[in-house]
Amino acid sequence: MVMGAMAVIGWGVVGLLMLMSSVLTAEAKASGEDWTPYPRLRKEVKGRSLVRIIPVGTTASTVLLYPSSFGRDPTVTPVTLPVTAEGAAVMVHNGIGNYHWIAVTEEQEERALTLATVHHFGMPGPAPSVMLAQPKSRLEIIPEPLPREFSTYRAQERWVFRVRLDQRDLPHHPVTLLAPHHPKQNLSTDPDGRVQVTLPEFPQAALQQPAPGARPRRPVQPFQLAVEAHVGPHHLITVFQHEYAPPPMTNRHPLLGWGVTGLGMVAGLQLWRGRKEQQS
Amino acid sequence: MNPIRIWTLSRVRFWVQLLFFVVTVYGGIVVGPYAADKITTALPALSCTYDRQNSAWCVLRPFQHQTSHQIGDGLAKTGTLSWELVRPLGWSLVIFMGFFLVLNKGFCGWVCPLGAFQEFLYGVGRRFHLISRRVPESWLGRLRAVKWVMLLGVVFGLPLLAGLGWLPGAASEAWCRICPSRILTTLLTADAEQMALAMGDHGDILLGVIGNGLFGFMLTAAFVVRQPFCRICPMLALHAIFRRLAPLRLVKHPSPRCGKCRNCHAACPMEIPEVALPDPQQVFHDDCTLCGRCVEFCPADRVLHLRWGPVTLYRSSAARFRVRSRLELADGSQRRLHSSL
Ligand code: SF4
Ligand code: SF4
Repeated sequence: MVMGAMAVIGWGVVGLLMLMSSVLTAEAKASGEDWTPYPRLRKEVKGRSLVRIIPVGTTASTVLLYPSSFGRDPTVTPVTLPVTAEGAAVMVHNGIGNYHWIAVTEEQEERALTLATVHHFGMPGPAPSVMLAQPKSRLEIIPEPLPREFSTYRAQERWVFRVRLDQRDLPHHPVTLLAPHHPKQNLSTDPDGRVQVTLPEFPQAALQQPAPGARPRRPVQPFQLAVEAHVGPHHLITVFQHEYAPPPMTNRHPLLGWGVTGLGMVAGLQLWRGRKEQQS
Repeated sequence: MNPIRIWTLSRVRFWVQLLFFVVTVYGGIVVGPYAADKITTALPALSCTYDRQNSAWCVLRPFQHQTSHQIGDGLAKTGTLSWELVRPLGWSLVIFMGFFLVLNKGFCGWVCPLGAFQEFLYGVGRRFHLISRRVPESWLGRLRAVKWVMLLGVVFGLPLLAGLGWLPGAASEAWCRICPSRILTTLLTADAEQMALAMGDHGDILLGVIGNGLFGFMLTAAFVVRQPFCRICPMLALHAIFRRLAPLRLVKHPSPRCGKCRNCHAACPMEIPEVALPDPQQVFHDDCTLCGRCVEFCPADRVLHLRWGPVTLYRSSAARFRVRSRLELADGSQRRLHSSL
């Protein structure tokens, strides 16, 4: 009898614990905290020419910076920025170019992880195509192309990335797409080493209205593309991180747009009426 | 076949406009996606930055961004207007001038995709013998003032106020929100996003309604009125400020007939009455787009000239006029002109 009661209580406690853990996991998922098993890069934009890069979940003590003229101008070399005691590398625009490739590497015995992202300073500078194509690590994910100025990745858009190992395209290789509030997606490169990535839906929870009086900012969510490869004893991991915005028609009303245009057309049509003017 | 008949100035211009239409709307497919790949990011014509396939960027968007995010924002933060704040705007102006000095207002008459599109619609209207309406001369004064309001108020004023934080964010690119080129060129690249009405705050909705309404109006009005949008375009006003600095211009050596036949006025897509006056000072007007139609339809020898500095590129000639008017009336209709000369 006592044994039976204890078993019931025991199973009850186990059930309760499982329930709590599933609630907590669901909460963590909803807040998007556990969306990636890899380290992350957080960016804090502090003005037109100052950005703080905060590596999260990595022991890397430096950040490597490749300006957009890297590869075009032989005098331009990558800049090493220390991660300060507050856990951030401070990136000040040095007058060279607009797009900057930002990378951290972490090496532990045979495992080498590279985590990279791109920041665009709103300054004049060369197109980043050459800089992107330059080898920066053994295993690489190269955006082809990056979103241009005044633009960004957007939900449900399709973008192409190239995967290279030791500067050779990597065909039929698994690639993982990770984003908060979404299960991971397994993709694969094509015979040319390209992978087509359709960015996931934008989570509703992230579509918040700005606080009253605050400047409206485009809501964004991070995503990561990850690729892993084993070369001999080496385990190479490369992660490209960027952010994506809501899909094109968010906060837009197509029917109203066509309707108002139609009204304008009707107003213009009024000019079609009346007597034909005397030709000269 | 008479070569003059084949290669009239209008025909050459038609092909140049078509070429630039393709280049400005779709040329990004060739030159590349990034700003640095573009021919320029400060073009003196409405080659829209919202069009993801374009090959050059209209100068008005950087002007608005620099006025709002740089000058307005900076003023709000520091309270003083420094060289640092105005320098980006200055650079855009310098690049703009580099192009503008070559073609002057010819960017409107030869390069702008929106100008070409309106001319095309008016041509269709002529072909189908639709009514043709001219803007009454009594309205011209007020209508001409609108482009200055657009330039000073909407391209610079509203973005500045938005940057200072006195207006909602939508006003930081108020002109782009109402610019018909944004909707037209994006639609032409199979992108319907700009056609859909932005439903953010009141500013978004208001500017969206004005923009879509203006675009719709232009679409149908352009069949019967020449260049309906160009009359109020801020780019026209911007060109007008600097037009005396560039070597390409319209020059008149008046004849005693000037002011009487008014063929040049009838031919002008911008319907500028001053072009017909005997006063040579008034002929190269703020609204002139240097299309050269007035020169083509002037029935007198060596009266109107398109000149680049000291070099005459094209001048009026009675012989050319006779051939030209067999093809088309000065107002664009495809009928024979009964000249009084
Ligand atoms: S919307 Fe108009 S003004 Fe703005 S970038 Fe496009 S063409 Fe230029
Ligand atoms: S005035 Fe007409 S041709 Fe000139 S930029 Fe404006 S729309 Fe284009």
